Amino acid sequence: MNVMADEKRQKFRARAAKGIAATLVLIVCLYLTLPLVALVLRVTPELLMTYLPNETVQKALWLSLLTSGIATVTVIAIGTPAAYFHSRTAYPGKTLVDTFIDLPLVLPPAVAGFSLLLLFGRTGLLGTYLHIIGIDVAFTTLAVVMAQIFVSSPFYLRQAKALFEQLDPAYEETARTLGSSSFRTFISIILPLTASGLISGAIMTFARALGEFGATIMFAGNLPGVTQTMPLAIYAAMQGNFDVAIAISVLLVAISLAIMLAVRLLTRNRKYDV
Amino acid sequence: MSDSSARKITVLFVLCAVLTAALAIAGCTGTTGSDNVTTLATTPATGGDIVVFTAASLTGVSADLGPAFEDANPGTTVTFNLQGTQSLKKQIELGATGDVFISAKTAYTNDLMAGGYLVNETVKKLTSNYIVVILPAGNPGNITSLDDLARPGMKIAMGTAEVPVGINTRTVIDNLANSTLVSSGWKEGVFDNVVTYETTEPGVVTKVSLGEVDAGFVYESSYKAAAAGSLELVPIPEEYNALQIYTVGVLSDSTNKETAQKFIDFLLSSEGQEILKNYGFTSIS
Repeated sequence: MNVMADEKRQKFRARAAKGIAATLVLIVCLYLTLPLVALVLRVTPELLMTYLPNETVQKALWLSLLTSGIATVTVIAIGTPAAYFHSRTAYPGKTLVDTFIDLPLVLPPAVAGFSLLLLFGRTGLLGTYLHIIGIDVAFTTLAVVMAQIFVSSPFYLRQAKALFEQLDPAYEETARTLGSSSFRTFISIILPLTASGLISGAIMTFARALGEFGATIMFAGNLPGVTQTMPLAIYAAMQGNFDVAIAISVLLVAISLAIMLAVRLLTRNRKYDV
Repeated sequence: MSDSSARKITVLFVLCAVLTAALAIAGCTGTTGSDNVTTLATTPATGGDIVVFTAASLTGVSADLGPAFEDANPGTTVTFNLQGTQSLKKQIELGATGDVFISAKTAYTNDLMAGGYLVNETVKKLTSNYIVVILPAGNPGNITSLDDLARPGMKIAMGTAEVPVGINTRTVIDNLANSTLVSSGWKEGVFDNVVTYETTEPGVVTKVSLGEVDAGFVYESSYKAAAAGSLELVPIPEEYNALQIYTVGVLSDSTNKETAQKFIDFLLSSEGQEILKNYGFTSIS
């Protein structure tokens, strides 16, 4: 009798726990998706047909893709070897470097943009000297890329660091004892072993760069065709033509979803899943 | 106790100390530097708290208007929501609640009245403002005339086509382009030199004050409100200028219409108008 009651109680508890867990998951899902549902419900095909070919939207789209692309390539080119050396070497101040790499993740982007302006602006710490030799960075497309690199690089660097740290040094040692140069080892052993993880890190970096707003508007300003990326165009349109803002927002949601799906597919069944 | 947990405690201790120091410094400057407080701290509801949706170009003067009203009406607290009028209008239409609306664009006020968002009989003209061109101290672009604004290589900041200051800037530029004050092709030259379209008037002022652009189109009040010597001025003759009319009214959703009306009365009183005048606003008689 007692045993059966206990069993019943246990079953009931297990079921209740499952129910609570399911509810919590549902709440999380609804909270994250309902805003997007509200956005999509405002869209009609006519609205998209009318405003997506709009010159401002087109310019913002291409500028966003171009600058985010350049930012991502730059982060990969400099970040990959940097992360490798960082992971494979013990040096003083390493923890501090780790902290600096993570800093842009928690720093408000507006602060990042303002700081960049105070450094590279033509009256800034470095900008003063750049201005003398005729280089003005602020309010240019280059400034957009620089702002994007600042805020998005941690997504790649953290991923790369983790991948290289997890990699067994035995691979490199074996390759070296077999006479392979360190450069060749890196290219033909290390990169292939970490490629899918690195690519997913790069995609996340691209996505973050694409969504960059605060640092860009501070450091690069808001000029259609030159510095007005998609998030800035949404903000500007919000204040005038609401429908344009909706059209661009939907476009960005679609791109973001595609990016996240790509990351999921790439990292599925991989050892270095994030 | 292990070494690592001892270290963790030390780190936590240092972190707390840093945070406390930061908060202490912020607290001190908050009480001594009242000149830059634009959003006033809200005290627990006393029944006299109002939120004023305020055109961003009143950022400077709001720091004086709020305390003056609070002093005259003990127990009240005024909080300013300072943004471009077009943003405020959108927020009100999307359900943001406030008590008073101060608009820099009469057309936007009319839209809100038509939509039932304002108590129509409370809407009044508040003050007005002219457009001027400001330059950073030292005039890095060597701009001595309106014509110089079109010189290739100049960097100019102005408001977007939606923000009131930007709308008036475009009107003024059109007026000037049709005058004999500037050379032909001037308007195109000016727009070619624009490096950023800001969504608020203070946004333009900041870019100029930092010296990051050579010139900016703003309201006269911003020039008057700036610290002496921090900005230089290129005036625009009145006959080509566009007078920006500010309007004020009680929002329909206000839960404190009495204090809201009191605040509007204060703004329109000689004391309120005097404060506005000190900041370079032109009173409407």
